[in-house]
Amino acid sequence: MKGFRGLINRILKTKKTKPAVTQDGKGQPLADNLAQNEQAIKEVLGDSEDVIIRRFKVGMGEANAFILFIEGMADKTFIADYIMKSLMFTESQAVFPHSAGTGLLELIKDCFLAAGEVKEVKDLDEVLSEVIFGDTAIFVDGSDRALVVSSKGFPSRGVEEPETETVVRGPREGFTEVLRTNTTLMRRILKTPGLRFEVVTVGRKTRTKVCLAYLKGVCRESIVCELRKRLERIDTDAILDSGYIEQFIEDAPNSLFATIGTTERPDVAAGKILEGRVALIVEGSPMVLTVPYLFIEGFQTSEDYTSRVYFMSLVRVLRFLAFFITVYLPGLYIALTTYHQEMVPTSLLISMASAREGVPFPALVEVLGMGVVFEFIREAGIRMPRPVGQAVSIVGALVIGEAAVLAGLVGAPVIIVTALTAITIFIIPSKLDAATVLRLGFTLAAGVAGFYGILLLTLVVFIHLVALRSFGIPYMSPLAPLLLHDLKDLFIRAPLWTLDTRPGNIGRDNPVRQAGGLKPGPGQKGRR
Amino acid sequence: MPEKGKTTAFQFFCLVSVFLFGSTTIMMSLTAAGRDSWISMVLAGAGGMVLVLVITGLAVSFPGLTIIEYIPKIFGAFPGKLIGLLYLWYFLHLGSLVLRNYGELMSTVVMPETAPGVFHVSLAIVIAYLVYHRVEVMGRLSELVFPLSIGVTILTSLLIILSGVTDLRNILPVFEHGIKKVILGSITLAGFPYLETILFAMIFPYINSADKGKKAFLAAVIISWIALLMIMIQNITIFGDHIITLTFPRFYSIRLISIGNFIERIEPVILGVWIMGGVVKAGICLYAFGLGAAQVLGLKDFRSLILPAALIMAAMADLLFKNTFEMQRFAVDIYPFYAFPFQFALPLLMLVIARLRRRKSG
Amino acid sequence: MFYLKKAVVMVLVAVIVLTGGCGNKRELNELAIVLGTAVDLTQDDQIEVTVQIVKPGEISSGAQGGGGGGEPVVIISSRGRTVFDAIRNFTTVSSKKLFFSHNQVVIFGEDLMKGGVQQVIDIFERDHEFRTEVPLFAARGRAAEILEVPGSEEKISAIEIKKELDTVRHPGWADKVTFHEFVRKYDGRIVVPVVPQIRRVEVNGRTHTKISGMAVIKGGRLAGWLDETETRGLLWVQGRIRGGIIPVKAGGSGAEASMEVKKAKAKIIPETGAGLPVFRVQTEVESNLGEAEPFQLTEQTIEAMKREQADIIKKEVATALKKAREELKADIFGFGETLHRAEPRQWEELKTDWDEYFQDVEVRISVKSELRNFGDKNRPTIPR
Repeated sequence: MKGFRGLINRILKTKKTKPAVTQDGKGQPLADNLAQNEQAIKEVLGDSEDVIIRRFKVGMGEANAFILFIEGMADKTFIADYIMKSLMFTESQAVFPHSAGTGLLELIKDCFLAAGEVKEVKDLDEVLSEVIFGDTAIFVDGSDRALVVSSKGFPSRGVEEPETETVVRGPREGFTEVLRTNTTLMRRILKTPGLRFEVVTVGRKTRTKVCLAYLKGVCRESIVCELRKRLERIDTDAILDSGYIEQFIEDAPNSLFATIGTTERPDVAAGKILEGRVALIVEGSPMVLTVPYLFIEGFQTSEDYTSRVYFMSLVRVLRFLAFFITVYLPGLYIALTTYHQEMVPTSLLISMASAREGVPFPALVEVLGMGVVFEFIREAGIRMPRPVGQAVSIVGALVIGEAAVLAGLVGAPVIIVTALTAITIFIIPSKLDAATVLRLGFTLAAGVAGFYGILLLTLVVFIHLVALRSFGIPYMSPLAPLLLHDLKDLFIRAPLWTLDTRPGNIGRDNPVRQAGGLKPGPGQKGRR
Repeated sequence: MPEKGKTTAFQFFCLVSVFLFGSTTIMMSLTAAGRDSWISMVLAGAGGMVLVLVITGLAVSFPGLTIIEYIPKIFGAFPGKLIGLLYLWYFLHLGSLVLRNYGELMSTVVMPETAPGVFHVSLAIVIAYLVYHRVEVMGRLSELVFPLSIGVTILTSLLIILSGVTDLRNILPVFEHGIKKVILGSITLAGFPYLETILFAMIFPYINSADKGKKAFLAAVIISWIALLMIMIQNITIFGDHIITLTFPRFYSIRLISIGNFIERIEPVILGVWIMGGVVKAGICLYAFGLGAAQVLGLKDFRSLILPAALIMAAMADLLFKNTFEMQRFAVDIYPFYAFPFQFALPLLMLVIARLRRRKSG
Repeated sequence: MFYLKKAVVMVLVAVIVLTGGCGNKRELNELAIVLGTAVDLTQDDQIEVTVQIVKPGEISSGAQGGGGGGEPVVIISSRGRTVFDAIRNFTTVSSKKLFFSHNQVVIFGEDLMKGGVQQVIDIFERDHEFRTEVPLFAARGRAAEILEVPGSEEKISAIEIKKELDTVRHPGWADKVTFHEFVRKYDGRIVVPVVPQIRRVEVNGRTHTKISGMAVIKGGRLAGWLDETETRGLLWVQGRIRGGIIPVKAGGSGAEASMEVKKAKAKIIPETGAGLPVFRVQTEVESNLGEAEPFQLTEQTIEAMKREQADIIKKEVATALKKAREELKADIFGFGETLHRAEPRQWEELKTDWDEYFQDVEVRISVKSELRNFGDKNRPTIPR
C-alpha cells in the first residue's frame, strides 16, 4: 500500500510543479528562524482553532523545533508515534553534532523519521497547502527548509454500496468522497501498469484534486490532451463536486443532453476505461465522470453484461421503449385527444370521451397540471428524510390521483398517462433531466400543433443530437454515423464472446479487446 | 471553401435514398399512363441511372468541385456564372416545390383549418436549422431517417396487403392507353424524382471516398427505384385506373389499412415519417442553394445565407400556385420539361465537353 | 449578430405558434362523435342526413357509478341541398361539432337511390373526415329509420349493424362493400356496383335490423334488389363466399345432410373467338360434412353429396344470372371487366352496348366440389 502511495505521489509531485493558476498568493520563502516562521504561519492561517503548533526540542537536546498540523485533518496517533516519538526520544546525542540548522534537518529526514512519505520544502505557501491537506510540517531552528510528512488522517465514509445504480448481480462497492480510496478501488480492478492517474488541481479556494484515470495504449491520446486542456482552463473559486467540473468542461453546455457520464460504481468506471474512455475522479465526490459520453450509454448498465443475454437484450429494448414513452406519452395523449381523434380506435375514443365528460380544463392544462403535481411529489420524495419522504409521496399520489378523479377535476386517462411517464422515467435515471424537459417540450408542441408539432420538435431534437459531439466523438454513434460492428451492443446486447472489439469510435487506437472464437462449448481445446 | 465537412459513402447513400423517397411517395402516380404507370416507372428509373453516371463522370473530371464550381471551367467565367445562377434558381425553386407539396398534403388531409403558410414557414425553419449544421449532420440525420422510411414503406405495404384491398388483376390490361402515354408518364416520373438527383452534384465532392460514393449513389438509386416501383404497383393494384382521380393515392391507400378492427387509422404516424423525408429533401435543396450561392459569391461561409434563403423558399412555396389543382398540373405537365435542361441536358453537355477537351489535351 | 438571429427565429416560431396552431384544435368534449350516417331524399327533393351520435357519459361503466340508464345515442336529422349543406345545418340542432371520422356505417335510403346517388357520394371521398373503408348499406325504405332501431346486443346500433354485417357476409347472404370498393366500381363503369341491403324486421315483438340480399346500383340509380339466393349466386361467381351451410339430399335415400362450406374460389375466364365471347365460370368449393341423417357413408353417397352440392351452387348462380340479365340488365358479376383485362381491343368494340351483349353472351358454369372432413364420426348413428 505504501509503495503504491509513493507511486501516486511521484505522479502528484511532477504535476504539482506546473504553474498552478489555482493557487492563492505568491511563493514566500521560509526564514531560517523558528520564531519568524511561526509568525509568518500565524499571519496566513490566523487564529484558527484547529491549527496546532507544537514546540519541542529535538532528541532531548538543545535544538528547538516545532511541528505544524491541522487537527482533524492529520492523524494524531501517527504524529505522536512516528514523528514526535522518534524526534524527541532519540537517545544518541552523539548523532547530533550540530544543534541546529539544515544539517540537522537532513539528518532527521534521513535517519530518524519513521514515516513513508517525507519531502523538503522551502516555500511557505507550499508547506501550508500540504498542511491544510492533513500533512505535518517539521520546522527546525536555523534551517530555511521544512520537512513535510504525509500524515493525512481525516474522517471519511467507508466504501459502501452505492445508492444509485444498484444491481442484483455484480460488485457492491461504490466510490466514496476520498480521492485516494477511489483511485485504490480503480487500481484494484485494473491491475495493469497501463493504468494512469494524472492529477490536476482545480479551484482557487478548494484546491480540489481532479484525477484523470485512463489506460495508456487503449485510450486515445487526443482525448486525454483535450481533457487536460479543458481542466486547466478552469479558474474558479470552488469545485464542490464533480458536477462543477462537468459544467466547466462539457462540449455543449446549452444542450439538454449530458455529454459527460457519471457513475458511482468502480466496475462501471473500469469498464468505460477499458473501452478507451477517461474517468475523472474528483476529490470530495463519489460521482466519477467519464468521457466521452454517448447517447446510448444512458441505456446501458453494468448488469447488462453480468446477466444472461436474451433477458438483458429484452431489457435493453424495454429501456428504449421506456424512454420513448416517458418523453412522448403526454404529448401523444394530447395530440390524440385534441387533434387526431380519428386515430383512436372507436371504442377507446368513446371511453376516453366518457372519462373527459365534465372535466373543466382543456386536455393540455389537465396533462400539464398532473405533470407538475408528479414533479412536486418526486422532488418532495427526494428532499424529505427518507422514511417521511416515502410516506408523503405515496399518500400524496394516492390522495391527489384518486381524489382528483373522483372530484371530476381530471380524467382517469390523464392519471394513467402521468403514472406511466413517472414509472418509465425511473427506468433510465441517467436521462431523467433531459427527458423531463423534453417531455414538457413535446407536451406543449402537441398542444400547439398536434402530431405536426411533435414531429417538428422531434426533428429539431434529432438534428441537435446528431450534431452533438462529446470530446470529438459523435454523440449518436454508433447509430449516426453508423458503425455496424457496434450495433451488437445497442438495442440488443450480444454475448460477451462476440464483443471482440472496443467501441469503434472510442477504442479506435487499440480496437481488439479479446481473442476471437471464444464461444464456449464442450470439448474445446485450451488456448495455451 | 465554404464546406469543410465530409460525409461517408453510407451517409450519402442514405441522403440519396431519402431524397428520392421523400416527397415522391406521397405525390407519385399522377401520370398520364394510368394503370400502366409502373412501366413508366421502370423506364424513368433507367433514366435516373444514366444521370448518376453523368454526375459521377463529371466528378471524375473535376475532383473535389461542385457543379457550381466546374460550370465556369467548362463554359468560361461569365457564361459559367450565369448558368450557375440559373442552377441556383432551380435549387431554390425545387426546394419551395417540396415545401409546397408537404404544405398541401397537411392542409388537405390532416389539418384543413390551418393555413398552408404555417406549414411552409415552420418546415423552413427546421430545414434551416438542419442545413446550418452542414453536410455532416445532414448525412447523419438521413442515417436515422433512412431506416425509418424503408421500415415504414415495408410495413405499410404489408399491412395494405393484409387488409385485403389489393387485387393484382387491376394491373390488367396493359398498354390500354397506348405506348405514347407510357412514355409521357415516364418523362413525368423521370423529372420527378429521378433526375432531381442532379442536386447531388453539389454534395458528391464531399464524400470521403469518391469511388465508394459512386457505388453508393448507384445503389441508392436502384434501391429507391425498386421501392417506388413496389409502391406504384401496389397503388395500382388497389385503385386501377381510378388512381388518376386521387391527389395523394398513397395516403389514401394507407387510410384503407384495417386489420381486425385494431390496426387501422395509422396514417398520421406514417405522415410523420414522410415529413421527415421531406425535410431531408428540402434540406438538400436549401443546402445546394446556400453552398452554391456562397461559391458564386465567393463567401467563406454559407451559413449566413441559410435562414433568409429558407424563408424565401417558404414564401415562394406560398406564392407558386393558387391551389392544389395548379400544383398538380405543373408537376405533371410543365415541370418535367422546365427542369429537363437543368437536370439532364446541361450535365450531359458538360460531360461531353469535358471528355472532348481531355481527349484533345491528352 | 448571433442573438439577433436567435431573436428572429424566436419571433418566427412565436408567430407560427400563435397564428397557426390552434386552428384544428377541438377538445374531446366539444365533439359529437358520429357513429352512423343515413342519407335520404325527402319528398321535396332535399337531402336529409341523419346521424347517430354517441353520448359518452351514458356508455361508460366507469367509476362515477354507471351510465345512469339513459339512451346511449342521440339521433338527429338535418336537411339541405347537398350532403355538406345538410351537415352544416346540423349546427342549428346540435351544440357540438359533428365528428365523422369514427362513422361506422353509411346507409342510403331507397328513395335516394332511386333518384340517384351521384350527388351524394363525392363528399365521402373528398372530405378528409370521412373514411372510405366504411361499409355502405342500402336501406329498404327510409335510411333514417334503420338508425332509429335501438341496438339489442350492443348499446350502439351502428356498431351492431357493422358487426352483424361481418357475420352475415360469412354465409354469403349479403356482402360487405366499403365505400372505397363502391366508388371504384362506380368510377370504372364496367362492373355494376352492389350494396348490401338492410331493413327493419319484427322479431318476437322487438324491432331489429336485418341484413340480407343486395341492392344493385346501375348508373348511379337503384336498378333492383337481389334476394339471399341471388346474392349467393353472385358471390359464388366472384369467389367471395366464406362459409355457410348447403343442405343436400344424400345417399339416394332422401336423407338430409348439411355441408359446411370451408373454402370457395372462383375464376371467370373469357374465351374469345369469332363472335361474342364465351365466359367460363370455374368455381371451386371445399366443404365439411356438418351434419347428416342416418345413411351409410360410402364412396357413392359421398360422390352424390358432392354432385348435389355442385348442382345447388350451379342453380344459385343460374338464378342470379337470370335476374341480372333479364330483370336488371346489369353486369354485376364483372364479366365485362375480365374481358377488358384479357382482350382490351374486343372490349373496346363491345363496351358501349355491353348491357345488351351481356344478355346474349354464353356463360358456362363449372363447379368443382370437394368434401374434406367428416367431423368426429365416421358413421352416422343408425337405429336398428
